[in-house]
Amino acid sequence: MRIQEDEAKAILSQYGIRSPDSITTSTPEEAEAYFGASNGEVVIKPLGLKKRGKAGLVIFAKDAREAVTATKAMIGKSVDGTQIKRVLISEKIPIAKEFYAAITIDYSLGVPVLVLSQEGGIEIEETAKASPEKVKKVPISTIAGPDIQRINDAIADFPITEKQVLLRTILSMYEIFRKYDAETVEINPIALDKDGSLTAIDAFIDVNDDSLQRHPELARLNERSEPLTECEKRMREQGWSYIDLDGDIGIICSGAGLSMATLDLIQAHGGKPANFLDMAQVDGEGLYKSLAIMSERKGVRAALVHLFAGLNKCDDMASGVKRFVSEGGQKFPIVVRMVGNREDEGTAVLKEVGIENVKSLEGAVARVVEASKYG
Amino acid sequence: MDDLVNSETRVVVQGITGSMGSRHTETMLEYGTRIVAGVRPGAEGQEVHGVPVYNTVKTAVEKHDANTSILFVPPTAVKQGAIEAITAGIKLLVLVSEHIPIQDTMELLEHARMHGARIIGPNTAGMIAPWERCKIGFVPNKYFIPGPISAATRSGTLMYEIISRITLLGIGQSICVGAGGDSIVGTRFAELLKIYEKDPKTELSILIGEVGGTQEEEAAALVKSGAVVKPVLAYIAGRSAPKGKRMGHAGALISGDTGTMESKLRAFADAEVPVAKTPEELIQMVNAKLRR
Repeated sequence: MRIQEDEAKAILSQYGIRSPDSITTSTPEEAEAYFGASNGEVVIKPLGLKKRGKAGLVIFAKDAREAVTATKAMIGKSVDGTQIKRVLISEKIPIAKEFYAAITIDYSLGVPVLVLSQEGGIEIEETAKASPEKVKKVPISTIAGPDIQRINDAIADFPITEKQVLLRTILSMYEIFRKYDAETVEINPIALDKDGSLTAIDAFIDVNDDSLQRHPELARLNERSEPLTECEKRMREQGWSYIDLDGDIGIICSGAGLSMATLDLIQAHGGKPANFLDMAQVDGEGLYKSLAIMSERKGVRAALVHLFAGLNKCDDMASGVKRFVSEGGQKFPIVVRMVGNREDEGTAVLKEVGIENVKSLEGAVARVVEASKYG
Repeated sequence: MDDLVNSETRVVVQGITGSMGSRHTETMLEYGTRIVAGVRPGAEGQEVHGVPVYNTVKTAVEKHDANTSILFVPPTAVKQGAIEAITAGIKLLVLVSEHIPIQDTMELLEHARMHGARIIGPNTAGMIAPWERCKIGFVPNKYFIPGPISAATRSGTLMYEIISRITLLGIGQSICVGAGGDSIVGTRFAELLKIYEKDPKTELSILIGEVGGTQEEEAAALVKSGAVVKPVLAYIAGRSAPKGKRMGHAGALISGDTGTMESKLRAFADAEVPVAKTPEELIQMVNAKLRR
């Protein structure tokens, strides 16, 4: 879950990292009032988007009229499918130097890492690729904590007289990283002003989704993130991993890898998956529910049930399909391939409602793709 | 440990009294795994499927010389349980739990490195070595037979699908390991390839990868370096995966340029590792390679 700029800055300030004075608003009137109260130029940024600078969505306003116009133009606008609902308006502050600082994770080494660059406002991944010498990385031990000596070495050539200020900021960022179970705490850019103090111009915090349960204080923020579709909501309520896609073949599958492979095969056969669904440990009851939810989703023309019974049983799962079909809920053709435990018994249960258990995966995929095209 | 399991492998099951722990202890025992003890604080003196239960891993190690552990505990309890096992001297841990907070994973991995312990997972179905009749995890027993193939996978079900079809052709396996579906795992593909390279029974390794992360690229680089001379074949799931969406596994996430199918295909092509387009093609490739 991403903690957006305004909320991220609020957290930074609790740890002594300051940001320009600002308000979050969704009305032009507040933008106008804020401009009147500030002493000069303001910056207007949409909240809730991942890329803004590049998309030309960071606007500088010199007077109240500009601030109102920019806010009006931004609110309600859709960028890459995300509607802008709120903007952050902040004072534009004089900047002497800009840096990049983040605490993130090196996923292949499995350790936290401090990432620094003397160039602020950059796309760090691109810079790291194009000019790796401009990016410094310092791994951090989760047991021992940050190694002060190594961080001091890394910032030794930064053009900042009070190195302690930068070190303190970095240590605070690591504290936030740990406290909030973050995957990334990024300040980009972090600005150095004439008096030698640092200000977070832009920032975000990505919290690890698997850690959200132990952060009830963040639940309030989670509600504000992107809304789920009705089907996504209902499937996820069951504890399943579900994503809506834009095709017309419903997929009911268990296991992330097998689900992905099934989607790939459907595409390779010229079909279009309507969703990704990984039900994990599926039984007859679960299968019945997933079919019921799927049948209310718009745009599905055929469905593929593809399950490997490793620990569970085919006949139990098949009973869910049987119940669904015999209750008359079926709105589109259903192709089933289930293999594994008690496969023959499962095949027999399916036969009772006239559904063939297709032996080969490729055969099942070809059949559902055909069904999606010709009913 | 050079080899993952051998005749000295003695397993302790942490969380053995829970429904998952008890059920899988039974199937592991059926398969032949030497389970010497179970752990559940407060349950010392009980037995689960004939396996004695202790309060701590330390006692299990002292009394039964356990050297391997599998944890069936809730995700937020894994860190504590794993560190307990590592400090008690356990050298191989299998972490099956999904949704472990990522910082817990990093912390327990650091403890493992300090103590020279190996972690398999998290978020794995575990591992199985048919020659040794040793299974640590919950892969279904009946699809695995002894033979010349070793497999590393990021997905349990996809491994069952592929291996069961290979088994139907009469081709068995030496070691199959679920590396885990998380974005950070303890034993990565490249490391597993090194183990398979040293395993005298392995003639061919297969990698069942997916989009996200860099495990496939690292494995390809290892092959390219010449450190692996036994043949390697690969399949990668997720050709149709959209960017920025978590496809079930936390690790199956394409972000920016990292973890893309193109990057993985390029790396394998560079290392001359054949990549099958479909599971069926991989099975045919394995068959062709081992048919004499």
